[in-house]
Amino acid sequence: MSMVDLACIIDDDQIYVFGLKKLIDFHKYSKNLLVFKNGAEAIKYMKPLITSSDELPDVILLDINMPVMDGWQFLDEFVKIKPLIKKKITIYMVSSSIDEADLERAKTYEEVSDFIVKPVKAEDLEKMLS
Amino acid sequence: MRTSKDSSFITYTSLAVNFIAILVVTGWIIGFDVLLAIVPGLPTMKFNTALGFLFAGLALTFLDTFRNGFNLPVQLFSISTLLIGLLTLSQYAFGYSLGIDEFFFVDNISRAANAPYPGRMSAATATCFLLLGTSLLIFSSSRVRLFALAQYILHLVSLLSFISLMGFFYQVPSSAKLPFFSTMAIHTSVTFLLVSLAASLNRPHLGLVSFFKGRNLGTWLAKRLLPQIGVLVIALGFLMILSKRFGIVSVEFGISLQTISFLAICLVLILRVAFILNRVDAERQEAENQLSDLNQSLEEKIAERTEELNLLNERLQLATSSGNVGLWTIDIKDNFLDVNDALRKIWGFDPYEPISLDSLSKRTHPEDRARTDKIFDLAVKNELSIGLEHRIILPNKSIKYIKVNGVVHYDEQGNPFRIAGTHWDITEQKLFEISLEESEKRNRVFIEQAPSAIAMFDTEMRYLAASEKWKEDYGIKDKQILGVSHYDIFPEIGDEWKKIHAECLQGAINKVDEAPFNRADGSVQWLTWEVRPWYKKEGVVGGLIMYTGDITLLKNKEEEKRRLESVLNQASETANIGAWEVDLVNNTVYWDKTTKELHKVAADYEPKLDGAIQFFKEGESRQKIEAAVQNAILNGTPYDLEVELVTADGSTKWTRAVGQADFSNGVCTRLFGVFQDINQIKEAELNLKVSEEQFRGAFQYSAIGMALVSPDGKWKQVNSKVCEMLGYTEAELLQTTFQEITHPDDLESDLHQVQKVLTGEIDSYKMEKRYFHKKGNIVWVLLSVSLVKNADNQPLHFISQIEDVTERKATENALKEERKLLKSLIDNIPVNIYIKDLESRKTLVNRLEMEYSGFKKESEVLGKTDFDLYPEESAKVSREEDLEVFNTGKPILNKETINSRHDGSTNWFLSSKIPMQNDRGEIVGLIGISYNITARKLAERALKESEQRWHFALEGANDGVWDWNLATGEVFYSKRSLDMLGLSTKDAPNKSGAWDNRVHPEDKEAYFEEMQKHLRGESEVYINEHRVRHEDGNYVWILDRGKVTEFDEKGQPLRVIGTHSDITWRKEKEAQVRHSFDIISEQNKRLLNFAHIVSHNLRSHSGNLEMMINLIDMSSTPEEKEELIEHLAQISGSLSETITNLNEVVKIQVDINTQTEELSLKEYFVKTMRILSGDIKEKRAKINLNIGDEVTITYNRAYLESILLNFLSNAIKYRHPERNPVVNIDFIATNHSKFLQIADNGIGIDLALHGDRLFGMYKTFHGNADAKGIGLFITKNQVESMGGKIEVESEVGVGTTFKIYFS
Repeated sequence: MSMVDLACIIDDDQIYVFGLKKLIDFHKYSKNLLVFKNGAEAIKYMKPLITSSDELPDVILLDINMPVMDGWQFLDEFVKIKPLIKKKITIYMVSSSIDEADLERAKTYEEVSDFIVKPVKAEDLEKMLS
Repeated sequence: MRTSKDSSFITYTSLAVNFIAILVVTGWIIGFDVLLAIVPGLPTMKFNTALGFLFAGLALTFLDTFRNGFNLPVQLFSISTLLIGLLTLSQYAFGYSLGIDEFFFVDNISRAANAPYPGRMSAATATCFLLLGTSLLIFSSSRVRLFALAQYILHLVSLLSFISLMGFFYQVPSSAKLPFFSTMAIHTSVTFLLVSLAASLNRPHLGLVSFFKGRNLGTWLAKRLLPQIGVLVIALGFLMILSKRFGIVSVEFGISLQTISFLAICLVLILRVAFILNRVDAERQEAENQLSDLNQSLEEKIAERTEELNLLNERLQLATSSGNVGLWTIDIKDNFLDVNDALRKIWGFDPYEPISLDSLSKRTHPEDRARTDKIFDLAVKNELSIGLEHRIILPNKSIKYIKVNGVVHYDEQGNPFRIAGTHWDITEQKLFEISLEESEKRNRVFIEQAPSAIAMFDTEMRYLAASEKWKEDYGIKDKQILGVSHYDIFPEIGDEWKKIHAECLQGAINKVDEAPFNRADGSVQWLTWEVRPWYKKEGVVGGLIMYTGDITLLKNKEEEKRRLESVLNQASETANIGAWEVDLVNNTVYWDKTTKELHKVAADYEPKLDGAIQFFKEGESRQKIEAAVQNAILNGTPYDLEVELVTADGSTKWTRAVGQADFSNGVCTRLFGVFQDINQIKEAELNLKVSEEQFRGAFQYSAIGMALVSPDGKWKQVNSKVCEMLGYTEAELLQTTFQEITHPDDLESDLHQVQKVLTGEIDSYKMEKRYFHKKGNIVWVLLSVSLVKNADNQPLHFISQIEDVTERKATENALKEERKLLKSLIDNIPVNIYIKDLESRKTLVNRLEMEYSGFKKESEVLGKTDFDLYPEESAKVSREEDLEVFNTGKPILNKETINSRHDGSTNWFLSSKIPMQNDRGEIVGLIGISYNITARKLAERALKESEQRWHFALEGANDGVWDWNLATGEVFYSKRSLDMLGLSTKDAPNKSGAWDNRVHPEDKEAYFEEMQKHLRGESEVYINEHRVRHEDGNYVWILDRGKVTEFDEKGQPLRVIGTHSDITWRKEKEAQVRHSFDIISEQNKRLLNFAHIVSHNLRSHSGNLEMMINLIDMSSTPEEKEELIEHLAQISGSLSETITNLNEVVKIQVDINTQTEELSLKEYFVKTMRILSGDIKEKRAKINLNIGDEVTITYNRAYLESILLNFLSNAIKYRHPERNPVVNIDFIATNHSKFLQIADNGIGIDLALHGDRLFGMYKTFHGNADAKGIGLFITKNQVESMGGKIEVESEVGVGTTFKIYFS
């Protein structure tokens, strides 16, 4: 039972990504997966594909702390290109941070649907990828 | 040198010798005696001899064959030859036998003949072998110096063998011979001769052989004479022997005969040789001469050619260097084009721009391109010469004209291989030609269209152009004349005219204005003509322009006019009217006799158009006439003016100038008219006018009003003064009567006087009366009236003189008023005023003074002294003052005086006493003015007391007081205020600036602003806290408070009073509290941050752990499980690392009292660089350490190591991929701070993007795999825990500079 066509993980913690991939595969939450080590790589991938809905993810699981371009910076970039994207893309912030400030900041972005605190559990995934 | 002939001789000889030797050997072997002796009975050639020859022959062969280098065989054979000779000779010399004589064969022949040494060669033979061997040996050696000796040795061998041979030839019996030669065989002798000759030829330049070798005359002589003389001598000798043998002649006669014959033969030979020599010499001489001649002419030619070449070369260089001549060559084979710089310049190519026939063709003018390309094509294909002109267009669009020349070059076989030539820039010349052509064309058109008879010719007098009129005049209207000679069209033109034409072609101008031609019919034709050259350019005549005109009609008209004029002249002369005319067509002016007289010019004066106008007087006259003339010419309006002339003698004269215009076809062609002398009339008129003017002036501009009034009172005439006085215009006055505007109170008396005058009772009267001004006010006048009667003694009019005396009247009235006013003023003024005479008696007192004295009436006070009015004490003081004023004559001003009265009350006055003088300047008394200030005085005293009390209170409260007078800017500072500044009251400043200047610069703005705000009324009370500089240089905190206490009448503040409180202590406490607060806030912030870091980093690992464990549960295969467990291990490693890092951070946070010591910064850098030396070397990093040995900082040892290591390793780690890292390290100390600066040229950090997170934990920015994001975080913590801070500047791609500040 696959719930979404294409999910995207933006996170630099390779072990976390490995585990998440396993989890998604196991539960078949997504047909395909895109993984980026930081926001810059994700933006670089998305920019040329703005009009082709098939290749854009349905859901993005976004970490906050990343080198080069962190989650906030990615959101700022995403807001800029969002009006050009026809597809509805749901973004979840996924972080180990339990800092109130991060939670509050995430709320200021209407693009962000929810803030999930790591570790991610199967129920979380099911909620996000349905 | 040795010739080829010599060589072959040597070769053959050596072969022959070898052959003979072998033959003899063969003879010995087979016992064939003939081979041994040739002639039986004669000595035989011994076997050893043959062997010797064989060796010698072989030596010679080899010497010849291996001339250079291979000498061993030659040496062997020549030594063998030498040994044979030497051994044999030694047997002879020492008389022993070595057994060599018959070693090979037994000499039976010699034994049979009983010869002493059978088988042994003769001594001569042996000697010859010895010599021959020696000589050959020398030749085979490299002893060149001995070669000549060897040659002579060979000659000796030749001589010996020759002597032996001669013995045989002359059949000298053996007994008669020297025993030395006795037994040499005949072929031995011959062989020796051959061998020695051949050997000597080997070195032909040595010994006697040299005389026979070569082409010299001596050689020739020797070669020629020696055989002849030799043969003759031998033959003579033979004959001598024969004659003696047969006894024909005696020995003596034989010898003399031989001598004579020898002489005779020698003579013949010598003569012959001499003859030949002479002939040869003459030929040589001749040849020499010819050669010398040839040489000379050759040299001349060479010199000539050299010079020509030089000249040519010079020209070529000049031409090419001047840049005007472009040179080009085209290789016919491949059309390759080569050009010089000048050509590039002409065509506008850059020095290195590629250039080809195509690129030239592209720049060629499109109209010329086809033609040019075709010519070049033909030239290349058919090898033709080129000569053409064409245009080119340069890249800057300018057009140039180019002249191209080229010729075909042929190679040695006569095949064309190249075309070469020149390009000349002929633009200038070409443009000139074009402009000339155009100008000629223009001229031609101009001439053809001309209305008069004009023709244009070239220098050959061929028509270039002719006007229609010309053709008409000369009856050649239908003829084709252009290009045809003038003389061909008019053959009748005489030599006289041709001469004139020729002169004009040289530049002369032939011009005749008018010339009469008597026609055949008796009439006269007037002609005008002009022949003049035209120029192609400066100094070059292009041909002639001829102009002719028939002016007969004009001439006739002129004549007619002249006749008319003479009639007119006569008429006008009598009326003193002069005539004039201006011909506007010819621009001539005609004046008749009278006109000239009018202008006072000579009778033969010729007026000119512009000159005539100059006679009109400058200014009005000239403007008038110019305008009139202009109008006449333009509109045909005739004029008649009176104008002034300035005649030739400079006097002015009034004339009447009348003019009229003549029009033809709407154009004014002529102006004509008359001049009339009106000077006298005009002058009379002017005189009259002047006298009238004078009267008018007197009446009109009189200083007093004048009027003519009719007997019934009507104004008949008034001057401007009257109008001015009464405010009416002249016209208004003339409409009324004097009665109407006279004041009713004065009218009756005025009319009464008038009546009296009219009746004759009085002649005139004067009175002061009032008129009403037009505006209604009264005008006082002094009126004088007298009557003028006419011839019939009837009254005509009154002459009234009216003087305005209003002002005087007004002054009189004002004085009266003033006096009244002054009195009331003095009485009501709040100042005591009085006047005293010299006795101090009061002559005037005002009301206040009177009342102060205690009286009700002025009269009660006047005439009394102070002694009468006040107690004696006061009176005495007052009298003394009075006397002082009288004596010195100087006033006493604003003196504070005290006056007590009889009732006991005391008053303070501010009094002045001013001396009063009469007309003569004598002091007659004084004016006293006293201002009662008693009330103020009392108030002042009260205030002072209250202030003193107040000050005292403030001083007690330890506050300073200040009192600022805004009007003067003066400030009073209390002792306490000054104490705060460390100043004593003595040097106390009393200007606001004194305090202001001490206010701390940072506080100044607020300090002034607060005060201004209060002064503007925006604040109830002025309050400001600021620092002021104490005398000892420290700043003291002051709480400054103040309030405006006085305002002026406009509400502007006048005085501000305030207090100073020293709040330094409070401020210091405040700062301490704030500092503590800052520290605590910072700690708090860091703690919070740390808490987040800890939670985040530990959580991320724990989260991963949890996830992995879940996955392990879910996994189905052992492999999968194993992989996940591996991950678990990784997580555990990371976790442990994180905890280590956190521990390190915690350590810094905890170590508040870190141990510090004095550390050498440089030493620690060197240490750090040593740690990183591997990296530095590998990355080729350059570290510029610009820190002196003396720089030390007080720091924690471990922190410093950690900080330096971190920054330096980062500088290398984040190097730019395209360059080697360079790190500059400086220590900078200023007054305020000291810091360490580490500047690298690495990839840089985008501070706009990452600046705020740069020093955060686990923050990385470059995606570097080994970036952990812990280094800068720890470094920052360490620096901050030591009381310092870190600043960073960076530009992406350029580099980063960190500044580490020390406390």
